[in-house]
Amino acid sequence: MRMQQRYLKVMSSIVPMGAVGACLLLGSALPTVAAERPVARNSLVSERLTAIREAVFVVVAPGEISKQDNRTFHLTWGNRWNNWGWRGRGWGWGRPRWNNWRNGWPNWNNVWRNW
Amino acid sequence: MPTIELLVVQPTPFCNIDCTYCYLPNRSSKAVVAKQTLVNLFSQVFASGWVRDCLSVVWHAGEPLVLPREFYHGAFRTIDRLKPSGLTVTHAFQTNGTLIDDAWCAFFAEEQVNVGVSIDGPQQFHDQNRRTRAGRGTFDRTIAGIRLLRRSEVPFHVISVLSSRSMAAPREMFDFYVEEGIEEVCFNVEESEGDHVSRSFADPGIEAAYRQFLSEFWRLSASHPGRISFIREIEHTIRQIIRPSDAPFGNQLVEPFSVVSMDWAGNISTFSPELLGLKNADYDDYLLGNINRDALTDLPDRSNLARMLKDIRAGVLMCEETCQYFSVCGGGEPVNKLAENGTFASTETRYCRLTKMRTTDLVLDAIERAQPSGEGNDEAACDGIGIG
Repeated sequence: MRMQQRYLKVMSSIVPMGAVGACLLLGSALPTVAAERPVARNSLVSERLTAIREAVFVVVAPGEISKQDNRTFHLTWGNRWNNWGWRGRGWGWGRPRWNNWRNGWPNWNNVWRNW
Repeated sequence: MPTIELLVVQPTPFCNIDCTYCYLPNRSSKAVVAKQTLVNLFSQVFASGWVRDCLSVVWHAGEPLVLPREFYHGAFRTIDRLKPSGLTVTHAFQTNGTLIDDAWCAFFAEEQVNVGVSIDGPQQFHDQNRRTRAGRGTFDRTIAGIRLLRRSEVPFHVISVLSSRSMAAPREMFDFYVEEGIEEVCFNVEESEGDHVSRSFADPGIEAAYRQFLSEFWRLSASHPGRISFIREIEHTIRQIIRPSDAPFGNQLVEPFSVVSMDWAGNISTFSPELLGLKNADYDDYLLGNINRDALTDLPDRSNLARMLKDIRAGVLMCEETCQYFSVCGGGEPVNKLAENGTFASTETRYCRLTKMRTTDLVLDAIERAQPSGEGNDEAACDGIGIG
């Protein structure tokens, strides 16, 4: 529960920034290499991931999500979060699959049309 | 029904340079895709109903700029003529940058091509592996191309393959990108693929080195806002971690036809694009057919696709059942499983430990360090940046 509450507070601050703002904010939390000590955690990685996503779910008003199909979901959330995100890059949560080939270029990051 | 999201087209297998880590088997061949082959591909793709509102086309798997601009001008107009109204087609080139000139910059701007340039950092790192056939470094020509892109205000990103040496020098890498005005960076690692066996993967300290590199590079970028605006590995991982619990997710590389690859001769493959051109008797060299003689919509019925899919899905299921990181990765990359484990029906690879697990560890660590201050007395709270 304590972990969930912490994540909820952090996600409440991070999520409205969009992915780019989150990169900046979280990167500034990192220690210098010389001082680096990974944070010790008892929880499994999968448990931490689940807790983070549940916190995000709470932050973004889940009632709206469950009523939508994927396409509507994408448009709804894309519009909402693109408006909140920085430089027009939102979170792109509605995409059913990730454009993750290492030499490809993600659709959400088309430099000519979307920025 | 499949959904094609990424189409990788090999206009020519030829590359004007000869990188030591290249996995492309036919990079000395000067064959060129025929116009009719492109017509057959795109007319069938658009008629298939397998494309939704957006299609990315990457011209790759050889150096695309060895062909004249007129080739692409003609190809793009053909695609425009064939495509349904309302469909957005975006074109991307992955290039070594050595042939970029003012005319290419004008073409990129006119056609709004997404340009990715392969450069491995400062000269001493880049020239270590990215060489001509005569063994000379290519840095001077690549950086000249990048400077032309900047002068012409053509947006671009770079892909840098990290070596053990460059991984040990995050500050040097960061300073190089900043000095050259490079704002968007993607880091690949030297992988074992096809006939190429990675030297980096043999280094027992590679995982810690990779994590430390990304951590320091990310920290430097965050502490110098406005210089590096995009680090693919970090932003992509953040997007996979920070999402609502019921948001859909999946992995293109394990879904048939989500990524479709076509070589210059019209041969079609799917899953990891690197599979096209490799040999494998069990899977008929991963080739599902040829667009010049087969119907695209018949390819899902191929028996070798069924064999590949069975093994790939078995591997994904193993990942789902055993891997803590499955919800970030979605079951890995088939080409790496095959190269490192000898079978699609397998789980963890050195590649996924590096690029998925250690990166996820890093982002989780950053999230936990960003805990609201005053929450307990553990390290996360002590190092927290005081959100809330």
